Amino acid sequence: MQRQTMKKENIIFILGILILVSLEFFLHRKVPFIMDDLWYSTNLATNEPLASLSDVFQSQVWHFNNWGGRVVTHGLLQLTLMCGELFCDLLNTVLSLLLAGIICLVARKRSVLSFFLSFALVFSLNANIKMSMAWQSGSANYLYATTWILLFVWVFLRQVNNPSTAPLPFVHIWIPFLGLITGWSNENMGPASFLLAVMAIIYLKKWAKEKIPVWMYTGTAFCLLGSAFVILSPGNFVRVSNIEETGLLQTIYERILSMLSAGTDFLFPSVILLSLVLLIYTLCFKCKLQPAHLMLLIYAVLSYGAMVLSPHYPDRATFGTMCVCIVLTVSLLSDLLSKKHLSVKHVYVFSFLIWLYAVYGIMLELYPLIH
Amino acid sequence: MKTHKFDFYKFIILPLIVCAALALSFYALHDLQTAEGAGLYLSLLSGQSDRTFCDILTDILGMLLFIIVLLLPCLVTRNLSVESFCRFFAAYLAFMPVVHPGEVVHIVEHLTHFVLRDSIVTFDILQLLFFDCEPLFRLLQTLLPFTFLLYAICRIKVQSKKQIPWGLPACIALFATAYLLFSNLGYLTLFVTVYLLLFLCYLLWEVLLKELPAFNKWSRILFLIFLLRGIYRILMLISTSHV
Repeated sequence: MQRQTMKKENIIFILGILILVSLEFFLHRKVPFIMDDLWYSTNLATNEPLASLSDVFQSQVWHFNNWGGRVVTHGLLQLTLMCGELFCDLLNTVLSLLLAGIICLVARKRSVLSFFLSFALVFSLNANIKMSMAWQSGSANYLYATTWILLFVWVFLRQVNNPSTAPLPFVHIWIPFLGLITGWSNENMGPASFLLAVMAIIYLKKWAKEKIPVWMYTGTAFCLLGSAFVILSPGNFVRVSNIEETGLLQTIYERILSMLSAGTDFLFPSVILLSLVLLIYTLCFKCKLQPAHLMLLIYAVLSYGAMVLSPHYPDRATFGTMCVCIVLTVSLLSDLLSKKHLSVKHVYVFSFLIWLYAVYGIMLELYPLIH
Repeated sequence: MKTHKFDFYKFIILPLIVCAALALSFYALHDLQTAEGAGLYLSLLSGQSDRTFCDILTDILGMLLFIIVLLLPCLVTRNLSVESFCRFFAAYLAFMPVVHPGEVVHIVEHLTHFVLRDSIVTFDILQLLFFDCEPLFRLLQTLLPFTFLLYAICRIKVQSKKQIPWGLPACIALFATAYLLFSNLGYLTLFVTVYLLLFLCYLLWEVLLKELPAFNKWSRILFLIFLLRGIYRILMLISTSHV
């Protein structure tokens, strides 16, 4: 009887996910290649339309030396642009589902409800769905990058949660590559990921008193290398030199304002929900935060704080930090449910509210495009 | 002999924060009302050539009304502690829609009749949901799930269920429905809907604090975030309306 009820609820969650996926795909179809997509559809060095992989390579060399360090995400962007709009729309939809799956993986919660909640939270808490997931340049920089960044985080936190666990198959081979592209993704998540990896190593060495596997050192080192590439690329300095110089006080005021706007406006729903869930978890029900939870919390703060060095902090740039907050929210809420502190009814209603806002958020983006 | 430790936080920090927030709010109110011409409108109505007196009067009246609206929950619940007031103040600044003095001076005219929204008359559900009601949904985006979680915890943790107010949600639903239906009452009903929801959160929070006093210390971080958001919103308001 209980099994039948669970099956019925899972069907409802899957239906909810399918509705969101359909709306999301429809949004992708309605948003064509726009703005930077058109520029990246050309060979940046020669201004000719992209025709081959060598054009992409040449573009990214130019990009690295003249525009900025994000060659991994922009190289991927150019490859997807070459495949056409339908391919990009399908890829973006699949990757958003994959992202929700990876959020559940990092949160260590493998249930249909957790997946449903993660997927819905990505849309309902998103400060700008269109520019971070539907606009192809935004997708490559934020949706795609956050997917492999969280994968990197999962590999390390997996070890933290269970220090004696066996390593993943062939990890020595692929972790340098994953570390490199994680560090090389963007200027705030890359360095924050490196610091998370360092925290994991320090925790395992000092508190868990475990021998650190070599792959952890390799992954961390390559993440640092990637971060160095993205921050120290010559292109960043060329761009900075083109920006009009402002006085120190003006710069400080603008940075404070941009950090306030990101933290208290774009990230406000994510931060407030996470803060409340944390208070409930630790103070109401006296549950202890695991080391992985604390590391994720520090990671979220670092990824936000790193942006103080950036002259601009647009709403779409909060996507990575938002996903880290979602990991924590899903992990803690699912814990409370499994320990029977929160009733199933309450979690279902909360999840339904989040889903409703996810649908509304996507429809808000769609409405001006179809009206 | 028992020595009472001076509560620096309660008697110095909190009053300073309240004064600073009120001063900033007054500055924003002054900028907004002069830019929107609320004082000018009142001076024209009263036949005065110089708007200065009406501007000052509008500023004073506006602040008085603002303080009354802030104090109301504390007065109703007879909870006159500075900390409780600060909590509601911070939440008000973070969540409430901006009160435009230009709209307030015309409020009486709006109450004389009811005008159904065009989207309801023409059965344009899409326009109703994604254009007309967008302000309400945006404001409730964080507040609604937050309120629900708070309510769920109160249901579990609070011993006496009588402490949880049941009538308020019905009033909130009523005003939200009025917002959906009537375009001329949109501004007023939006304000009242969100205010009542905030009042409900305030009541739930105070009830929870009584049951779990340990909640108070760490929850200050939450209210600090509310206050920072409020400061950001005020700065944005000043930057657009300051002449």
